[in-house]
Amino acid sequence: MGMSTGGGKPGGLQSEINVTPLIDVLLVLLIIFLVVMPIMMKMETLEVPRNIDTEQEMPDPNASQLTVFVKPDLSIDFSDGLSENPTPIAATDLIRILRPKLEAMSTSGNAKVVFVDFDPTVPWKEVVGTMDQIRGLASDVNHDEIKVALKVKEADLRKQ
Amino acid sequence: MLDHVRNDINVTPLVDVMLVLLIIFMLMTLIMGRGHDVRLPSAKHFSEEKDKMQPVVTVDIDGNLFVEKNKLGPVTEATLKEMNQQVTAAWAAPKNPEGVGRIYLKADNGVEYSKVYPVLVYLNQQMGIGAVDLAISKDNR
Repeated sequence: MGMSTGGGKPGGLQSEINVTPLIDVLLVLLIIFLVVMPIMMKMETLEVPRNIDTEQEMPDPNASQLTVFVKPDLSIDFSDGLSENPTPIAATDLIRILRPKLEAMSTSGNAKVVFVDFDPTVPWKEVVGTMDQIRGLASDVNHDEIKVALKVKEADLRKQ
Repeated sequence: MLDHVRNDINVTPLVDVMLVLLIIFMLMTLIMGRGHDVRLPSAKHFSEEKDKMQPVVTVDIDGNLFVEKNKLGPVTEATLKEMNQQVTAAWAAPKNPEGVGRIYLKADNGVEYSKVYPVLVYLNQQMGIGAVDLAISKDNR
């Protein structure tokens, strides 16, 4: 980059600071930060099992299908698939009850699946909050060990 | 050195300023979230991934559906179909091939589950998506 500050008369004092190199360096720094900092998207992944896959992925869907249903007052109906009727529990007890159930599940490579269902009036914040709590039980760093799956209502399943 | 008159404009500072402006705009577009801006729910246990440029679908507090920044209107059969077309078009011309077949779903903190559920079911049943990436904000507590 050529500099032209007026030919530099002999003896002429130059009082301004030469900022061009400073700007150059700042530009390079900016570009370095641009390259180093890629945008990360923060996400929780919600599994929505297709009914086609359901049979293949879960050989025995009735064996121990953990289902969490959040009611309008944010209390929870919890069902472990073993007993007929779901147990009503307080939202704060979810983790305490779910942890031993999940730990009992076999870890033979397959992710542990927890089904979630919500009352239509439950705000989205609570939906994600519940999923977040369940995922927090995973011991791996990416929380991918436990999959949170959405329970699709029978009526919405595509007719085969 | 001859004391002749310099005729040309010194463009160096101009170029510098322009470059800085360019970089500021580049940064702005990077930092600005994609899709319609909503209050995202916070979560602690999330995975962080580089932006795969998957299409962004948003449901705002009033239950309006957006694809990227285009407002499609309230969630209905028709707007979902419109969403399907726009998302499929986005997948057909991917900016990043890894984003194909994926959706980044943003929904407002306060929107009722009944407004989001049809979108999830539509994505699953009609578009065959098995896993939806839900946008969250980092919980700083």
